[in-house]
Amino acid sequence: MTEDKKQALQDSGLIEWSVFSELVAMDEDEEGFSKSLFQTFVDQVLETFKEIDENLKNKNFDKVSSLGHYLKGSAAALGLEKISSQCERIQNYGRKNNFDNFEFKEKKEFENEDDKWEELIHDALDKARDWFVKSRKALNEYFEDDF
Amino acid sequence: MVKRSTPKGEENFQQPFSSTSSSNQSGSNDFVKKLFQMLQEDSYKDIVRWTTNGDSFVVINTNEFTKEILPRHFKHSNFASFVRQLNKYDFHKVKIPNEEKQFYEYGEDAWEFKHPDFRVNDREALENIKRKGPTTKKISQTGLSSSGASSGADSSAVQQLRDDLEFLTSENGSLKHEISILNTKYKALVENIVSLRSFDERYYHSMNVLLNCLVQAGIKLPPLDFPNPALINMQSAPTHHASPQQHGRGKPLQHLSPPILSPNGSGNHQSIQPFDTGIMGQPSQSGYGSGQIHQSSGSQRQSGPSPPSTEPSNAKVHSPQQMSNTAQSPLMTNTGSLNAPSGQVGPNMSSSTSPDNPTQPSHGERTQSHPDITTTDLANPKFHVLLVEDDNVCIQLCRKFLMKYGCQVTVATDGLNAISTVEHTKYDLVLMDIVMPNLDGATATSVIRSFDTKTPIIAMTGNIEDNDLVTYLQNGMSDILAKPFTKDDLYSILSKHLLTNSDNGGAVSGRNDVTGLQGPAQQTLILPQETQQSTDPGLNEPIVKKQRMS
Repeated sequence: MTEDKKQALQDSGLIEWSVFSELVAMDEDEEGFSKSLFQTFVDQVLETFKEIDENLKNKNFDKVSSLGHYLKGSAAALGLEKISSQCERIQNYGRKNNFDNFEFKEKKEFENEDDKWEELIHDALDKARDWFVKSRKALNEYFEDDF
Repeated sequence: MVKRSTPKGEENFQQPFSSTSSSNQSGSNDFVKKLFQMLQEDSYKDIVRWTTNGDSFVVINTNEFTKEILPRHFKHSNFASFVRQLNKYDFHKVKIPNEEKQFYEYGEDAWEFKHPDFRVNDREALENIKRKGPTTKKISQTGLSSSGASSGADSSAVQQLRDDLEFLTSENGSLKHEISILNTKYKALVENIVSLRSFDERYYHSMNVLLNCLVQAGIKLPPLDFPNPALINMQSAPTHHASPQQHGRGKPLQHLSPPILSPNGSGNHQSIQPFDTGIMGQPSQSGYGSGQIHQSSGSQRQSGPSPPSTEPSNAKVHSPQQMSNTAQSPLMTNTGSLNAPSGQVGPNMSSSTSPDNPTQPSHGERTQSHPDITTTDLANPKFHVLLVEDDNVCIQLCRKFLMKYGCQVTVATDGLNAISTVEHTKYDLVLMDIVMPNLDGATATSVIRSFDTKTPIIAMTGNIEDNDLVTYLQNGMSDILAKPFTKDDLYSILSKHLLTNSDNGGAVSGRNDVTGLQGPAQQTLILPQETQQSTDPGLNEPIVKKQRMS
């Protein structure tokens, strides 16, 4: 693993470095540990995003919230705080709690409350996806692999 | 309580001053007429009716009344606003003293209302009942009213608020009462489910033993619908499971684990006649012959990522956990003896989710009798920790750290499994996630506390609001480990509960050798040197400070 790669990942700011270095340190007694962990995570994210989409379509907000909670934990465990904090938004909006007093840039009109929460969740989900794509790319480069 | 704050004479006199009075005069007491009409209805008598004296009426069942009758007659379903209306027409609730309540003929929760001119079969008197509120208010505002009138208005408003308050208080009280009843029932149910599950599992194992005997005796078995109780899908939450399952555990929710159906030690999996291995609630799976399953599991084994040589010696049948389980489930021996020769049971652990990861650990991931419970053995472990967690990433990470500290780790993926696991096996410490499918960690803990008060149970949670923490402790949690936590955080929790206890010889089992355990300075709870596994070269190396895990 070259220093350059390390530096590049660290500079990306996508991952909490202290967490990541602890994960990587685990590879010393078990080669490939950190990599397998991220593979697990990537699979989990893809599956969970899909589930969130489906449940959001059915306005099953409780389920969306618990999926958000679930992913929040995994992302936080790996130091992927950008993703984790978007998941936290999904969790809270799913419970109809605008905990961060989020407001849309342009004012939007909603026919009913549910539409508003759905829109908020969409916002968080889009951002989570965005961070996930970036993080995945950065990790692919670091591990020289294709998660 | 019947307080006539606004004498009718006065009200009549005042009406001409009120701009709203015209609407109040004729048809003003539509409400009262509707009420009267409603009470004529005989079919309501269990919900609302005249009292025996006929000078008041009583709402016997407020729930039904609110749900069924209010919408029909008053186009809303809000009991409080019904009461408010009554108050406006100067009806008053008949107060039943607490000590008489239990003898009250209409039941403790009944609401009795009274107005001197509101009597059964006396339709004429209804005309005397007038709305009072707005009129007097108007007057007092325009300053034309006497101080008596305005204080009358005030006191009637106060009266109204009082009645509302009383209603809300009694409603609140009965809700609290109901919740506590539900809570008790819920706990009892959970305990029942847990014990039923363990019964089921015992029957299942006994059946297996019988089947194996029969097969060995050369008896051809008919197709059986024989679900493994442990594999029935109760999952509603994301089913990212403990770990990608190896053969023997199968994907726990999809396969009936084949070795159990195999003849003891024969190793010839194809020899078994097809069972119907359909699993309840998994219709897509039913109808698989066991042959198919065996084949697929066989190929899974051949494609297993690591060669037998990497299997650590301790991954054989000899784990303490295994031994203890053997006592109650003879089948475990079978499973073990079938798995051991393959030599690849453990390492498959991540193969299904990360096939491109051939370096997957060879830490003797063991098959337990339970599909959702996995134990990772270390040679000569210092402590045995149960990790209850549904998130695969957290499981892998936390298990890794625990193993680094020299702990043998068993993983359960929901509260129900945690309870039955703790019932069977003595653990030195339990790490318990809160939000999990099937049964949450807090409830699981309170159930565990009903038979085990000693084992430290640590809540792992992302919710660190004060209220939550209090709830966790009330449920019997010993301590709280906030998520995400660092490796150091984990260490200090472990040392706090494991090392202190072993000093007392308390909850910790005899396995532990207190000497050799080091405090935080050196940060190792670790194995003696000589038992180190070759696959774990870094085991005793000093741990870098300030690293985080989740």
